[in-house]
Amino acid sequence: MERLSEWLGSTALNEAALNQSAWLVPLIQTLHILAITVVVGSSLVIALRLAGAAGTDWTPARWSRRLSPWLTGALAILLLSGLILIVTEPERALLNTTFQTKMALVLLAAVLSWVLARRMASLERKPPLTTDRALAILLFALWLAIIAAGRWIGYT
Amino acid sequence: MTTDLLGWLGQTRLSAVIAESPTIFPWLEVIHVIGIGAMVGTIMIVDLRLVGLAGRDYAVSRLSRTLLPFTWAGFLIALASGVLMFSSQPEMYWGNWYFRAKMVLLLLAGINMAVFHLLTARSMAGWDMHGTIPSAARAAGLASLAIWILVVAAGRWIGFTMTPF
Repeated sequence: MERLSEWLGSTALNEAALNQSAWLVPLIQTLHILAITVVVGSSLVIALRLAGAAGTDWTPARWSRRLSPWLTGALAILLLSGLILIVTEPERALLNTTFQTKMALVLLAAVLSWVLARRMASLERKPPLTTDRALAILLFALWLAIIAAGRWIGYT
Repeated sequence: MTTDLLGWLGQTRLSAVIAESPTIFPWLEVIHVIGIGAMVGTIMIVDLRLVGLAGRDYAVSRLSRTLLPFTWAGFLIALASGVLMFSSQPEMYWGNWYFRAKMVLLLLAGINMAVFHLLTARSMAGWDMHGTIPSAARAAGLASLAIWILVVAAGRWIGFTMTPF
């Protein structure tokens, strides 16, 4: 990890980000936060729908078809922008336990999102089970924890 | 008048507590991002429907009604945490051009929303579910998307142009 961090710190992208363009890092962070709004909004609506609290004109399966592509796209943008942010400041991220915790939570959230999307796809006519509701609420809470961990990387 | 008010706010106990604590400000940032996530995330779902890009089989009026309470909840969370962050060094924020741009953009978002609800939405019965979405409605959705993207960008730029405590 330390050698990887050192190598990333010597790359051209790292050089470019730190020396020439004062706008690169805030721009990438803006993209990161916009993708976060997609994830928070989508996972909130999914949790509300499975709880029967909002969006009931559509079945969970229809909501999943509407939001899953956007969730996948947002996750791709988050990974890519996150990767660029790591390269600009490798030692701040890679050697930081908050960052490592965040990555473990992201991995868990990605797996659970895939599981929930599959379960929702089958909810065309039957009502959601308690398991589906619990999974959706857990996922929403997980994304909030990931946001908190992400913000704290800069302070730890 | 404004200077007096900013000076007073900066002298309050609340301002000092936030500025001096090593943990309060980062947590306010976390809460701010979560509030923005709930607000902008739900707004985008309605805007994309309004523009005609996604979810055409959900009535516009019913979609906006079912999501609006959560949009407002997110807004209030972002507003409260934003006011608290602002109070930690009010004069510094007030003098920051990205902060000013963000406030103007928020005002524009409010005007866009008011115009849509008071004028454009009047004819909604005709295009709520089927029929062609009028260009004024599409424009309102596009404007809203653009404004909120810029609000997020301006907000992020404030953090890069402020002098730390």
